[in-house]
Amino acid sequence: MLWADGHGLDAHTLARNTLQLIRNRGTDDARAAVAATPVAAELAVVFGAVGERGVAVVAPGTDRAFTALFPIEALDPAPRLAPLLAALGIATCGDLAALSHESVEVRLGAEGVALWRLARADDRRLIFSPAPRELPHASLDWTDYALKDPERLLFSINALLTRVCGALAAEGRGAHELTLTFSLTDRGTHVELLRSSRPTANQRTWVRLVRAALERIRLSAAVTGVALHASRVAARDAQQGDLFDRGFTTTGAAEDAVARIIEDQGEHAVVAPDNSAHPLLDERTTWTPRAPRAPHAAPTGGKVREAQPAYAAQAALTLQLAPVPRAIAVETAPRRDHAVPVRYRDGGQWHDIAQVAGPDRVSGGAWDPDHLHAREYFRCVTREGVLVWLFYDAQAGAWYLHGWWD
Amino acid sequence: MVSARMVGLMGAPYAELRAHTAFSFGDGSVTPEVLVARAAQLGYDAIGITDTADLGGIVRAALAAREAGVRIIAGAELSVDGQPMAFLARTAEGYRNLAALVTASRVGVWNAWDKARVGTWRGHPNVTWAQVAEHHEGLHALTGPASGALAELVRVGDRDGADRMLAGWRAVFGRRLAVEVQLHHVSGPEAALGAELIRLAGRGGVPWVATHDPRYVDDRSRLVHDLLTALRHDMDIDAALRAGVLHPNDDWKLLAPGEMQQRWQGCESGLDESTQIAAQCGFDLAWMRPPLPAFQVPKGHTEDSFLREQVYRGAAERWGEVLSEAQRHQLEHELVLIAKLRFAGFFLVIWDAVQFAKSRGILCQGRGSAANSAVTYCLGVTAVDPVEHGLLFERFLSEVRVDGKAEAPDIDVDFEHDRREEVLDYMYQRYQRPGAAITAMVQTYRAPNAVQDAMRAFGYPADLATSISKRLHQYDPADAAVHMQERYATQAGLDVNASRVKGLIRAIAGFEGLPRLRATHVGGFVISAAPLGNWLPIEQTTMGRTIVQFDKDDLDAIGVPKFDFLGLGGLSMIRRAFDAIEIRTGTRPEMYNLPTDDARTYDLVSRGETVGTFQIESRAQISSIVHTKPERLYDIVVQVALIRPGPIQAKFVRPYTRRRRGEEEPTYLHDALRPILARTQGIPIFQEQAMAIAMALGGYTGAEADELRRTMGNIRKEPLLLAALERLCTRMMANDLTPRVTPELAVRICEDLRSFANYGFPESHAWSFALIAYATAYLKVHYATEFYLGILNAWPMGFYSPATLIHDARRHGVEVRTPCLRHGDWECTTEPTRDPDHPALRMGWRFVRGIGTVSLDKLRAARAAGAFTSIADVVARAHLTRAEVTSLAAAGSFAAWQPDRRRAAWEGLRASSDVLPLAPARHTSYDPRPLGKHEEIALDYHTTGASVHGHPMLALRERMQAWHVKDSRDLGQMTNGCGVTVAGLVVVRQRPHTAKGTIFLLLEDEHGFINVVVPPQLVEPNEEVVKGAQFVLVRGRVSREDAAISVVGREFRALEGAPLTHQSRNFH
Repeated sequence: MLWADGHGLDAHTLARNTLQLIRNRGTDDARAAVAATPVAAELAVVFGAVGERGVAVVAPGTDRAFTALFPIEALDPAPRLAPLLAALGIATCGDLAALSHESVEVRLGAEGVALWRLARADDRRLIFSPAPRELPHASLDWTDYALKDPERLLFSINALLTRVCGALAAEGRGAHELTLTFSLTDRGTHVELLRSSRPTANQRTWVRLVRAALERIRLSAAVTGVALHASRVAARDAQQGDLFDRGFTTTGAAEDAVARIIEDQGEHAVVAPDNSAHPLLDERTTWTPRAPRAPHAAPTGGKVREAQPAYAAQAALTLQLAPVPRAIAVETAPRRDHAVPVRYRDGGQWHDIAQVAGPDRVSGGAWDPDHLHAREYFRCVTREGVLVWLFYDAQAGAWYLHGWWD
Repeated sequence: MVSARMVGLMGAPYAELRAHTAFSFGDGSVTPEVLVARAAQLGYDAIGITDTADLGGIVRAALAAREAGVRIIAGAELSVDGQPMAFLARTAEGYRNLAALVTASRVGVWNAWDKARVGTWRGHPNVTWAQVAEHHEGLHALTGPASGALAELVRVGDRDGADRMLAGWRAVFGRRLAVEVQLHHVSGPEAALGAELIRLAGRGGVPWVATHDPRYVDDRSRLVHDLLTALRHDMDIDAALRAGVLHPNDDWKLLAPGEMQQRWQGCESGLDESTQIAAQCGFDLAWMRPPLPAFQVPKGHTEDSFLREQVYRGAAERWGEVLSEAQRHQLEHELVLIAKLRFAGFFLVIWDAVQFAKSRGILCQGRGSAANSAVTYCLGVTAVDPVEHGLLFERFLSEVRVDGKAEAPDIDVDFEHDRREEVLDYMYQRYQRPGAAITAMVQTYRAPNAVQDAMRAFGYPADLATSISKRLHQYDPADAAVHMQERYATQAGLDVNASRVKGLIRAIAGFEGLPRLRATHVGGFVISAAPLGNWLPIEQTTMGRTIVQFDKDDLDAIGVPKFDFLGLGGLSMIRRAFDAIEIRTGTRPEMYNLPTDDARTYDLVSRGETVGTFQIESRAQISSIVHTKPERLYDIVVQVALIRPGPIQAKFVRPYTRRRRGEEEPTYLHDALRPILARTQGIPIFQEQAMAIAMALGGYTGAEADELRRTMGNIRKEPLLLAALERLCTRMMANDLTPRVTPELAVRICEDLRSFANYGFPESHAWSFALIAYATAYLKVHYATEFYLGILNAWPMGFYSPATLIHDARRHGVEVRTPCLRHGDWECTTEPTRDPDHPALRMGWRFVRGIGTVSLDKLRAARAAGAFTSIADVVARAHLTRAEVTSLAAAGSFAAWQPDRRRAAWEGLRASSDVLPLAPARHTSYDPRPLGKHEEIALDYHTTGASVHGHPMLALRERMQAWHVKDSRDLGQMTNGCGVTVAGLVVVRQRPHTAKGTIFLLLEDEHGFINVVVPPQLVEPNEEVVKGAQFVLVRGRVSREDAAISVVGREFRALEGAPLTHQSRNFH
């Protein structure tokens, strides 16, 4: 449902034009209604008879009478209220509206009174919030000549910055982002977004950013006009800094910074590692967008098994995983109920294996080929003294080098 | 005993001591039978089963092992102070200790038992080390897997602690202890842990043993194990994989001994130890038999003498002071056998329970084969005189021995279904909590659970899973998987070619045969003279009862006698009707003193007016009795047994009916069969008849005949049956009879018995039920108001909804009134009318929807303090909420003060909110539109599920007449085969297995019922209508055979009308 505020306007025309706009976008079954109260308009658009060009109109002063005709279910009473209304035999909005306030309040409580008001077309809902304040802007056009010189353009833009920054400063605000629009002689426009790392009304800062932009951009034609408006503003005391700066001593500050990055770059800009206990090491970490201040996401649907206490001392070496497991050729020898690698060829060179531990078998995921895996891992020390991590993929029937320790 | 080393040398090189089955509930995915079969296939000589705190799979495993030639070792994995250990039974004493530990882990401390505080132990079974130490005798202890206490100390490097712990265990178990080492190729620490555990064992002088702890046997059962694991952790399968709760590999599969040998090459001592332990552990089902309860008899009596005294006292009451020779002979025959088999205590326990019930005014009656016994008749347990009716005692008790032990008699006693709990509580009290428990019922996965569980684990929405599962309710998981593949998955929008859906379907099939949960059996009690849990592990239920971990079949296999205390709605109904009759007339009828030759009763039954009666009220029964037209009690006995799947499938119903009506002569293959089969028109219907044939023609003793009977009735026993019939054939031909039984005749008789085997019904059981059926029919004729009162107050029970029963009551001239807070009560009551013999029936408050137990209690308490005087008085004294007020008002319960339901709601709601006495809300007038007739009926259905003002079809009747739709009255005038259109409210839908896909609809209109047959080929095209519509219009033809009329449908249409709060009763 789309609401339009028709105060001071020709509401019928507004409705008709709005409807036309919507239809132009391919929605043929849209309807519109005009009424003095939201509840009457809502009932009219959903249930009412369609008038001229798909617009239903509730005549001024008839909202209550219009509403009275509808079944009470049209007002979508609360589930708790519906059986009470049914038991009383209140079938239409008119039935309810005809009752006294006191009798409704006694029997149906506050929810009943709210419904009673709606049934009487006494709609106190606030549909429209106050219009936002206009953000500072300034523009300059010239028709006698066209500018190509960046310095002269900067001179003109500086004049605009004086007005915009002045207006921002007067409001105690700073801009995160200014939008610079060039009108060109080829009748085209070029839009350039300028962003500062913190909200500011400092003209020199913005001049610097404009200069840098002018040095970078290439326009298709000469400029015949410039418009500048503050497209994103904030209070000037907002903090600014490097997310990874050690100066962030509080989580609140870090969260603010992350929030600003998201605001600036979009909600996918911040990612966090999501570590799991997936049996395959390369599947354990996924990077997922993380909104600031969101609580740490619990693993879906249950508890994660606690990490096993390490039996042996933690390895001092770090396992480096190959970005993608590397196919290798391996020669094996039988050992008990499995075969172990004795040498492998990687990059055209054979490496003899002096010691091997394993297999560490990882298999499962039979419910979905995306999860299906069957590997036998071996920790091997080569004759050169390199500790490598090889695996045999039973699905593919092939050997891979998955990583090494250093 | 064969030495352990010899076993190791001669047999398999390894014995798996730690297998889990699906009785680990959530941590095992094979049935005991599958596990044993796989073990045999892999070449195992012995396999130990250590389900988690559960011995429920042992009996099935033992039976399967007998067939497979594998030895079973009974064991369990128990959480000891929070960490797992395993224990294996070496001896009978060890088994009892094992059972005692499992019981302790499940129920805690008996002397702290509190029925009201239940469930605290459920799901977290645990025992303390002190309990283990107390029950160590005869047990072999294994130190547990990698998550065990010992392994944990090793893992954290606490070598001294590990040494101390092992020494402590050794001090208790001595040589009956082994350090358990497993290798699943999980990771490096696992192998290192294993090596350290072996060193620890060496230091401690304790042998180590290799175990593998398998949970499944193949890839599919591994997949199911993954799903069960995910469900156990309340996750979907993908989340479970990420969370690392699934097994990291498929190495928890049962490996072959040879594979284990390869794996442990160089460390064979662990394998040798497994075979040595296996050789030292034995198992016998006889270990599981608890001692029979000892009945406390008066001084100077033995159980036998006391039983004899009670029997003869009862005989005097039943038969008079002077017994006939036949009666005395029968009693002596039975008492001697009972004494010989040492079952006197068993009979006294039953007698005691029945005495208790009678002392409380609880109606009860023995059913089943117990009614073949004169002893149970004289003890007052059963109501059928076996001497008078010539019932065969051997069907009840014989000397046949199972595993060297006489099989316990099967005594089922029905009690009023809503008062059975009193009897159960009495039994618990009489025999102490630890000495009594109820039989379990193991619920095996059926298609709906399998589909829902698998789809939940796969992360599908619950409503999608529910919608699919509803369509598969009649299937087992394997069949459901086929139907999913062929039809239902696609219908639900799943792509059966998608690999994930393929995985889902494979998983559903994998649930086939797996136990899902353990529930409480409807009545089987097990009682022991000693703590029962030491033989049969006990666990709690959420209702505060205790159950053994074994079901009926397990107990039969072990040879444990059960005391079946069942709940029967029919008895509740009769007792309530008797109460009401006594209140109205001052005379209480006696159930077994009702005249059994009442012509009006047989007339009602013959007309098929049996809605609400016990056992003979179903549409199939009614269709049959209008043909057979019962005119004596034995006709009803036969009727009870006749309309069963067996006789229907065997196509015996029609011949019996024709012969009973004199349309054809009964024939007998041999003269000796005449006295046996004459009462059932030459057709064998009862199991006793099969036994009698064997005795008469084959010269069998009663025990031999009973042994033959035991092979019947179970498809799994068919090979046994065939062998038994072959023996009977030989015996019949060899028997010196006149005329002799020729080979052809013998074969024919055996063939008849073979087809009979699938449906045979105990005559004694039919007699017991027929008595109740007759009593209910008698009540319906002579005390109709009380009859309907009884059934409505005992509801839920029977075949029909309250709405149907109330319409039936009105059709039978009973005035039915709405619930009333001034005149009525919480249950239905009778009220006087101008005709003192025909009181009105007032519906109880409990039928008002929205008035739950708490509200009823409030109303009853307020009413007990004084009669209600006004709507406001009800609301104020019962502290009713607005919702309760509106429910009662809408149901017309305030009609005594305000007949208009809406005005009553207006007044009630004012009163419910008027809580400020100093500023009372004003009384304002309210003038709503009056309800129309049809609105009133619809509102009745909405508020009470029934209407006393008319039938909902009335709202459609005008339209139906315009369409020339016939009503149920018109059908009576129509001839067989003529075309007809009928319509009605669907009150019953049936799809019996025997009907091969046919659906039977029972339509109801304002005049009665219409039977509609939906042929199988028309079910699918009309699925939405025949399975879901409220009002149905049917075009078809009349099928008429005398008074039995039905409409065989051709076209089906849902009738649009005002939505009605009504749901048909569906039987599949």
